[in-house]
Amino acid sequence: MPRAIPEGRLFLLDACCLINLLTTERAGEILEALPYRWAVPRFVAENEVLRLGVKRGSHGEVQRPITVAEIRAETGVEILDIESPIEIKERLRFGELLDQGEANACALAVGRQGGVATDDKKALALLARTAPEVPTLQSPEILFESLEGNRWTDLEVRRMLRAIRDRAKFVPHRGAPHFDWWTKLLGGNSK
Amino acid sequence: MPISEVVFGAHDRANWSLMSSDPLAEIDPRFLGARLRQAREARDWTQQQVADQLGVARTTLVAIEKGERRIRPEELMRLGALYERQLWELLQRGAPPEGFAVQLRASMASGPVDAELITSIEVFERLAEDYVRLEEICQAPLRRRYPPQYEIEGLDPELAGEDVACSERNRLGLGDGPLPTLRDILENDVGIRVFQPELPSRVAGMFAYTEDLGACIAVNRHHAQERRALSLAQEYGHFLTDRFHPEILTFEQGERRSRAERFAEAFSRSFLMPSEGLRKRYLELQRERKGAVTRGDLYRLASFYFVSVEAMTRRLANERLIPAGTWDRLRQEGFQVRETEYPLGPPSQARREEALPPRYVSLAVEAWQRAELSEGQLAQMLRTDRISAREIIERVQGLSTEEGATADLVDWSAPLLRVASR
Repeated sequence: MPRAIPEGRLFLLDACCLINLLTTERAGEILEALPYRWAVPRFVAENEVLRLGVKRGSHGEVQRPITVAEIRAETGVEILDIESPIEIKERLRFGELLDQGEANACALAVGRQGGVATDDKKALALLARTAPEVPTLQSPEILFESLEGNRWTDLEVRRMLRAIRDRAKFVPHRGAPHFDWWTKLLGGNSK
Repeated sequence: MPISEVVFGAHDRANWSLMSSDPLAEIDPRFLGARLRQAREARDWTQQQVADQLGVARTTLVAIEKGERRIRPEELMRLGALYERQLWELLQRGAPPEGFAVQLRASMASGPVDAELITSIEVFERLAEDYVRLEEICQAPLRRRYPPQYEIEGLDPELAGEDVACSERNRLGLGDGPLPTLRDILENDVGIRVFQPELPSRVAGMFAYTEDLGACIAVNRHHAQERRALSLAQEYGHFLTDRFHPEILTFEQGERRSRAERFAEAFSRSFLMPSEGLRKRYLELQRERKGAVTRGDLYRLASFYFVSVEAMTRRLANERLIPAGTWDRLRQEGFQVRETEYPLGPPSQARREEALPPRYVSLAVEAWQRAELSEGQLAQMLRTDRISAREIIERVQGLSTEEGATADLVDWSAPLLRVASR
């Protein structure tokens, strides 16, 4: 289990992480392997992952919108809205500096004593500075920790990381937890 | 202190990463009100229309826009959604830059200002604002090297166009050759912001200037590359002679052209195809062909100067190198040249991205790398989705994700001296 985060804690998935996980096509298994409750801000679910739906046609892959229902079905996450006065207040605070999706994830996490799963350097820095009580997770961390609960082969894991790299175009920053594991698994044998 | 006395951009750039405990209590309500008013005006909505949407009295909205009544969080979020503006855009600490949307709309002397054009003008203005915002974040203002305005009052527009084009070529050290990188020249050597957004098909370009945003040009991305070059040169001609008046350049058929339009056309022709160089090259061609210049030669000459065959033919006739009316005769004979900008077909991302100046894109990536823009903000700045934004980061940084490359390998925000001293 990563660090000392209590089991059952609510984690808000920001668009960065959600996109990465969806590209693996095993987001549900990955998230289920960690002992947390997972949620996505409605704005993120409705607006930020539209490009991920892929329809295979006679001319190859065609992008199509991915629906909120599909996100729910594929990942098992809850979809949350900003509701309480404290969430509105936090939405404004984070919204002054972050994009709407990122701000919603942070505001909901603060309002509901949850954590945030994001790879965004600015969001991570803001949370560390202004809401240190909010735990954070990053994509490499989520993938790495999920290995414990799944019996995936190295090949399967590598396939997932490649999908994140090639379809989501994600490259972890050097300071990300388990960065070495991630790059080693992909390194030198990328295609 | 009135807003006009506050220097735009003078706010602490730490604003980009320092969080307030209560933004609405800390922000100057006049600045926020002014931003909300600008956002409303950019949409060409009245206060009454917005007040109705918001469910408040018009006087309430008036007070909010004047900064006389503090806006409530819910109201701000609803207005942000209505205007499609993010909170981080509306909650900027300094005074908003002086925009140009209203003046640009008013400059449309003929033809309707329809919803499509209103949207295009708003897109143009927001691109200019975002560019300035990126410069503030990266502390890299675009240097303005504007020449004094050329005085052409009372002169023959065609002759004045030729004369100003020649002077500008000399001033900028451009010689007498083609200008394949006119957009870069205008940005780097003059300090004009040049965007290529999608505009209504009848609009070739737009020009606007304000003290805060500087000189800004938009040319229609839907048009062929050769047409865009002409539009850009025409708008530059407008900047050189009448920069304080915004302009929308349209294709209005059958109307008598104004003196300003005749000047801009003459300027663009001469600027893109300078007489001396063109004459020299054409005569060389004649020598090679022993006088029998072909239609293919015309096409090659046009390609060499990055202009359309029609523009080249008309220019050669204008220079009396070929008979007057050659273009009309060629058309009557069925001569057709398709103006294509990408013979092999453009990559879709390149088309999207080329709406933005390369410097704009690199500043956005630098700001993201400094963690002063989040990924979502970067995507918004780049007018694209997150995955495409990641692709752009990869390309701008010259990185390959092969072999475990990381986004930190090339730190664009690192000072040059520190890198050099390693």
